[in-house]
Amino acid sequence: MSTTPLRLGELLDQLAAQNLTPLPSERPLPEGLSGSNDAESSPWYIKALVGIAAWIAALFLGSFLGIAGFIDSSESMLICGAVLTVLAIVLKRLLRHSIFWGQLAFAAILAGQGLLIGGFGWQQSDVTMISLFVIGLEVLIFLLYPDTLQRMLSVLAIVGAIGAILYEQELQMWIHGLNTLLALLAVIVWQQEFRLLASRWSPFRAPLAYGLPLSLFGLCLLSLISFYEATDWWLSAAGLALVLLYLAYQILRELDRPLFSAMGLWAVGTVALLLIPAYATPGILAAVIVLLLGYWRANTLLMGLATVFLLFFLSAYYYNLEITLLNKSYILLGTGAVLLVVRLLFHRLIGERDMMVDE
Amino acid sequence: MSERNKDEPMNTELSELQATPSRLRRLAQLGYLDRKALEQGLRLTGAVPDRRGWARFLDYALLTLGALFLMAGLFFFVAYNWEDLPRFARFGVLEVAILVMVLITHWVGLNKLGGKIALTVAALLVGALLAVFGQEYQTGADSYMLFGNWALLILGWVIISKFDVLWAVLWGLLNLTLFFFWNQVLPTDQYPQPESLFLLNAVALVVWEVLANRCAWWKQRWLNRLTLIVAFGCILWPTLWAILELYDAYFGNYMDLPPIHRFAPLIYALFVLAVVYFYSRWQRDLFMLTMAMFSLILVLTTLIGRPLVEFDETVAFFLLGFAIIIQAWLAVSILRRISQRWEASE
Repeated sequence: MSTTPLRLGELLDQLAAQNLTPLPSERPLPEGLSGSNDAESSPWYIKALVGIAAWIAALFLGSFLGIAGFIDSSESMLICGAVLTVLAIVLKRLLRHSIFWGQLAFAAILAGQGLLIGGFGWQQSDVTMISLFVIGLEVLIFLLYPDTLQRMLSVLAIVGAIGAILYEQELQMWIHGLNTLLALLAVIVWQQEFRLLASRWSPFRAPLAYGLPLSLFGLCLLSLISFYEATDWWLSAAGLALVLLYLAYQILRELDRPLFSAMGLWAVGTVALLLIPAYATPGILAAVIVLLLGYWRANTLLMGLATVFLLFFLSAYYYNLEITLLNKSYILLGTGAVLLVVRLLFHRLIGERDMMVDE
Repeated sequence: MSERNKDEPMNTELSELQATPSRLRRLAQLGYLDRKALEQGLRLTGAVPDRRGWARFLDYALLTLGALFLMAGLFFFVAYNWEDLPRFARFGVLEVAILVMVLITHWVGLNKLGGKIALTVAALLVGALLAVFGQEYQTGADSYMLFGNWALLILGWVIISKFDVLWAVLWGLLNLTLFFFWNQVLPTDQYPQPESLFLLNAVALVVWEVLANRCAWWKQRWLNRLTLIVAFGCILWPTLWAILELYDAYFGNYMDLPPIHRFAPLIYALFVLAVVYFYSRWQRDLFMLTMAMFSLILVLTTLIGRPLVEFDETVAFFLLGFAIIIQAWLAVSILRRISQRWEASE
C-alpha cells in the first residue's frame, strides 16, 4: 500500500501507461466527479439523514391526509397512495438532481407506499395476498424510482414479504433456502461490483449490495424469535457455510491460490470450525460472510455493520434454548481456543515474511 | 507528481484531487473508467487487498474472533450456576484467566494487537469476577457500584493500553455507572440525569479528540462519532421537553418541567455551536456536522410544531411535513457545500 496519497492525475497517468485508459490529456475528467447536486453521491450518513427526514415527513403528510378527511375508506387510501406514488416517480425522474424535489418525492413515495399497502390490507385479510401485493408494488418501485435508499428499502420489503408468505403458508423450513440464496446473491453482487459499477446496471448495484446483507441479517434474527416457528436452523448454518466456502474459493482464486492446497484446506477447516457455534445461530456465519465481503471490497460501512451484527449474534447465543448454558460455554471456549490454534497454523502456512508488522 | 503541460485540457483542479476509492467508483459510474481500469485503479490505491493485505486481515480476524469466543465462553461459564464447583474454584477460574491474559499482554507487548486484545479480555473478565464476588457473598451492592468499581479497577490498564476498544469499554462502564446511579439512588426527574450524562459524554469527546490529535494509535473515529451521538441524545431529551413545556397551556400541568432542566436548551445551543465550529474548522468531520444538522432539524421541528398543533392539528401536520423536507434540503445543501469546499482545499 502506498504511504503518500496518490493524486487522480498520477493514477490516471499510470492507468494510461498500462493501456487501461486513454491519456488524461486526451480526455478531461468529468465535472460530475466533484459531486453532483443530488444526494446520491453523498456519504451514507447524509443519505441516512435524508431518509430519516423523509420518513418523518411522510408520517406527517400521511397523518394530514387522514385528519383532513381525504382518507376515510380503503378506496380513498388506495387512490391517495397511487396518486402520491405516481407523482413521486414522475417528480424524481424529471428532477433527478434536485435535492429539494428529491426530498419531497422521497417523502411522497414513502407515504404513497404506506397508503397503498394500508389500503390493500384494509380490503384483504389474507396475509399471503397482501404480501404478494407488497412484492409486486416494491418490484415496480425498485425499477421505476431512481433512488438508492428507496431501492434498498424495496429489497428489504420484498424479502420481508417473502418471509411473511412462508410463515402464512407454514413453509417456515424454506427460510433456510432463502437465507442461503440471499447470502449467495450478496456474494455475487459484491463479486461483480466492478463490472456492475461500469455498466448501465450501476444504479441497481448499491441497493442490492446493501439490501441483501441487511435482509440476510433480518432473516437470521428469526432464529432468535420463537413465534416464527422455524426450526432446524442448522440448515441455514450449513447453507451459509457453503456460501462462505464459495466466497473463500473466489478470494483464493483471485490470489492465485488453488482450493486444493494447504491454504484451501485451511480455509475449509476454518469454515467447518465456525459451523460449531453457528449450529443454531446462523447469524454468526452471516456476519462473517459480510465481514469478508466488506474487506474484499474495502467497504468500511459493510465491515462496521458486520461487526455490530457479529457481536449481537454472539450475545444472542446466550438465549439459545436448544443448548444448555454450560454446553454453550464449552462450545465457545473450544471454538475460541481452536481459532487461536488455527491462527498459529495460518502463520506457519504463509510464512512470517507475509505477515504484517503490528503498529 | 507527473509533469503536465499547461495547455493540456485535463482539468488541473480535479486531477489534483486525492485518488480515493469512492472517487474511482464515481469515475466508473460516470463512464470514465471501465471495469478493468477501475479494478486496477483500486489496486494502485491499495483499496483492493493483495496477499499481504489478506494475510494481515485474517491474522487480525482470527485473533479477535478467537479472543471474543474465549471470553464469551468464560462469561457463559460464570453465568451458569454450576453447583459442583467449590467457591474457590469459581474464583480461581476467573483469576487464573485474568492472570494468563495479563501475562500474555506482558509477553506480547502493547505495541501488538495480540497484547492489546489480551489486556481487553483481562479488563472484561474483571467485571465477571466482580459479578461472581457479588453473587457469592450477596453483597447487595447496586448495579452502579459494580460498574463503577469495574471502571475504577481497569482504569490503569486503559491508560497504558494504546487501544481505542479498551477506552470504549471504560466509556461504556462510566455511562452505565451514571445511568444506574440516577435510576437506583435518585430516580425522579428532579435531578439532572440527562444533563450529567451529556456532560460525561461531552468531556469524553474532548478527551477522544485530544488523544486522536496526539496519539498515532488513535486512528479510527468510530468512538468519537458514537460518543457525539450519545451526547446529542442525552441533551436533546430535556431540550425537547423544555420546548414542549413552553406551551404548557395545551397539556395543562401534565408535563411540568423541573427547574433543573430549564437550562438544557441553552446547553444544547452552546454544544451545537461548539460542534459546528470545531468540526468545520479544526478537525474536519462531515459526520459530526451531519449529526449536528439532524439534531437541529429535530429541535426546530418541535419548536415550530408545538404552537402549530395548538393552533390547528390538520394544518400543523401538513406544514410540518413540508418544514422537515425544507430543513433536510437546507441541511444537505450546506453539508455538500462544505464538503466541496474541503475538496477544493485538499
